[in-house]
Amino acid sequence: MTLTRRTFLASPCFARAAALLAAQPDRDGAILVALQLAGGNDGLNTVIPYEDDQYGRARSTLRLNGNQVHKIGAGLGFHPELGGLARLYNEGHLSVVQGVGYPNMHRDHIIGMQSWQTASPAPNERTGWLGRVADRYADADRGNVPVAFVGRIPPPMAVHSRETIVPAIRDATDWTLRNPSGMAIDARRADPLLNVAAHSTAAALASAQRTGGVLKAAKGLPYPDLPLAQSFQTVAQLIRADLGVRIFLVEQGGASPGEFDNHANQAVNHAVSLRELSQSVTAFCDDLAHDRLLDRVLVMTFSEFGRTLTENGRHGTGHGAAAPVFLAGGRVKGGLVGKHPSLSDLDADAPKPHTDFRSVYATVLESWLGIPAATILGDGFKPLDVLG
Amino acid sequence: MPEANPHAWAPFEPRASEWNIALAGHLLRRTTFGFTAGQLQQALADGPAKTIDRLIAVPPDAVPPDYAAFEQSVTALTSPEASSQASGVLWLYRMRNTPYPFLEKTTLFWHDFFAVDGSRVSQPSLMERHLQLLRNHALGRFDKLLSEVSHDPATLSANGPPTLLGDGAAREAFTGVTVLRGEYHYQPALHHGNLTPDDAVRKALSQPATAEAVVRRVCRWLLGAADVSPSMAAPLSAGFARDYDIAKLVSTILRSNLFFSAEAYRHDVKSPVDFALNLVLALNATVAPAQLHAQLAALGQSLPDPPSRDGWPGGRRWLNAFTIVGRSNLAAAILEKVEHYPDRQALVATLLQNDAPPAVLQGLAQSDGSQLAQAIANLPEFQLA
Repeated sequence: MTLTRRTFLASPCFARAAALLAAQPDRDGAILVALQLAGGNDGLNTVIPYEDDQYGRARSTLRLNGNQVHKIGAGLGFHPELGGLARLYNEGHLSVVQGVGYPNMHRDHIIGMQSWQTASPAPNERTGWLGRVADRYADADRGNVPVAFVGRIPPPMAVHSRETIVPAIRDATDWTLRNPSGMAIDARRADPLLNVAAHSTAAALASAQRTGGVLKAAKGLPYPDLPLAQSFQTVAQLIRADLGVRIFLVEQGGASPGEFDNHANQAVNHAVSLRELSQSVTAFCDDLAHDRLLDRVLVMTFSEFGRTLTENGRHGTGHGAAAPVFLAGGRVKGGLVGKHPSLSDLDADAPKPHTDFRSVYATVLESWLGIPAATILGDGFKPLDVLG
Repeated sequence: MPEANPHAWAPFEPRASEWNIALAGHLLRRTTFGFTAGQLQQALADGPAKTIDRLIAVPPDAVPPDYAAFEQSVTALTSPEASSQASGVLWLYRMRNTPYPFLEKTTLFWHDFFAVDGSRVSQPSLMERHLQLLRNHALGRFDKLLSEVSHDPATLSANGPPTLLGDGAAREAFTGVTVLRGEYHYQPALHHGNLTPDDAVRKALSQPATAEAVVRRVCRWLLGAADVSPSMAAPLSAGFARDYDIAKLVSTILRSNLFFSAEAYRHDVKSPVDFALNLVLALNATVAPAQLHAQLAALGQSLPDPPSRDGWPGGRRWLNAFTIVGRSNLAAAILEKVEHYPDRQALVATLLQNDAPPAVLQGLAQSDGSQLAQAIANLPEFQLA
C-alpha cells in the first residue's frame, strides 16, 4: 500500500475514477472482503487455549488438547479443521486479533448481529457500516459500485444503505448481460439526466463484458464445492473483472440465528462449519496468490458474539462475548494481535473483550482502504497496527 | 425548476394539435405502472382532462379481479418470518392487475413518505393492514391519513421495540420527525411535555411546515426528481393547509402547465417497479409476483421495506453499473413470457413514445418482436419516467 493510493481512495476523485471502468481499470486498488459468521462463533474452540486448565475443566467433552490442535505458540492452537488457516498463519498471511467485542455485549442474536452490522449505538439505526461506505463513495452521476454483497440470503444489514443500491449477487453471471442489444458503450445524450442513464448504461455494458470475459477465460485455481467457497470464487471472478468494487460482503451460516449457534452437539457441527470456513478462505487466498492478486485483498471475519466457557448438559455452549477476528491477505503482518482473554476473569461465564470491534473496522477502513474511519464509525476508534 | 412562470399551476389546455403521443405517454407514465397501445390511444383520443378524471375516480372497494384467491395462495405458502415479503408479493399482484393504477401508485407514494419498514414490523398481518390503511386514505384527506398512521400498530412496531424507545416516545418521534422532517427543529414544543399522539398530530397539522413538506414531496413525485422551490409551491401549500384534500392537490398538479412542461418531461428515473411493470403491462406478459418481488429487491426496491425514514432514494440513485445490467436481464426474463408482440411501430410508440435520437430509432427499425422490446428496454431513454 502506498500513501498515494490511500490518499487517492479517500478523495472524491476515487468514485469518479472507479466508474470509468472501460477507460482505466484500477488494477492496484485495495479490496476488503468482510465475512459474516452467523450464530455466534465459539472463539474458544477456534483459537484454543489448550494449555489453560480452566478451559479443560469447563469443557469436559468439547475440549481439544495439544495433540489435536494446530499449534501457533503462546499455548494456543487452531481447531483441527483449520489446517488451511494454520498454513496461511505460518506463511504470514493471517493475523488473529484476540478478545474483540464491545462494552456490555448483547447476547441476543438479532441485536448482537445488528451491533456488528451497524457499528452504531443507536437502536434504530437502519444503515450498516458498509452501506454507509457505499453512500459516501457511490457517485450517482457515474454509476460506480463501491460495495457489493455476494451470497444467497437477503442482503445482511451491514450493507444496508440510505441512498445507494448495493448489489446482491448470487454468482458472477448476475453481472453479465443476457441480451445487450441496443446498448452502446459510447452512448451520450444532451439532457443531463438522460446522460446519467447513458453513462450508467455504458458502465454496465463495459463491466458485463469484462465479467463475461473472466468467466469465459475460466482462469484461477479450483474451489471446493461448498457454499462459502462458491461465494469466494464469485468474489475472485469479480475482482479479476476489475469492476471498481472495493468491498465485498460474504456470509457463512445463513439468516439468524445461524449455523454457528451450537447449543447442542457442538463438536461435530462446529467442526463442519470450521472446515468450510478454512477451506473456503484458503482456496480464495491461494487462487489470488496464484494470480498475484493477494496483495490487493484483505479478508476480515466477524460474528455477533463468542460463546460461554462452560459446556452445557447437551454438549453445546451458550451465547458469550469476546471472540477472535481473523484478518487474512497478502499485506497483513501476521501473528497474534493482543492477548488471549483471561479465563479467570469472566463476564457471566464468557471472555471479556479488550479490543473494540470498531477499532478493527477502523483498521480496515483507514489503514487498508484509505477511508477516514470517523466518517463511517464516528470519532474515537483508532486503527490497530496489524498491516504491513 | 422555473420560478417565474405565473401560469405554472394553471390548467394545461392544449390545442388539438398540441396533445400528442408524447404528452399522453408522459401522463400515463407518471400515473400508472404501464399501459397498452390501446390505453395510450384512448388517452390520446380523450385528452388530458378526461384522462385525469378517469385516473383519479376510484370506487371505495377497488379490488383487482381474483385478488382473494391469490391472497389465499400467498398466505398459505408463506412462513410467518417472511411476512413483509408476502405483503410485497400481494402488492405487486395488485399493481399488475388493478383497474385503478393511480390509487396503487398513490399508495406507493404514501408508503415511501411514511417509510414504515415492513421488515421491522413484528407481526405478519400488521403490514398488510398498514398498506390497506394507506390505500383507504391515499386519495382522501391527509389529516385523517396522518392520524390513523400515527395510531397504526405497524408504525409503532417498525419504529423500534418499546423496550428500547418507549411506546410514547415512538409515537412522538414518529409524528414529529415523519411529518415535519427537516422542519422538526423549528418545533421545539414537540419535544416537551407528555403529548398524546393526537396532540402531536394536531400540532403537526397546525404548522404551515407540514402542508409545505407534503406538497413539495408530492411535487417531487409527480413532476420528477427536480425540486419545486417553496415560493413556487406556496399557492398549493396554502390551499392544502386549508383542507388537506389529497385528490384536489394531485389533480391540480396533474392538470397544470408545469406537469406537461419540458421541465417535467422524462425528468425522473423509473423505479424498478415501474421499469418491470411498464414492460409487463404493455406486452401483457405472464409474471409470477413472488419471483418478480425477489428480482425487484435485487434492483434496490424491496416492497414494502424502504431503506430509511426518507423512503427510497429514487431518481438517479436507482441507476448504476450493476442495476442497469439487472434491469436488462429482468427485461429479458419478462420478454420470455410474452406471447404476442404488437407491430414494430406500435411497440416503439407504446414503450418509448418514439423518444430517442433519430439514429437510435433507425437502429430500432432493424428488429422487431422480443429483440426490439429488449433493445428499447436497454435504452437510456427507457430508464426515465
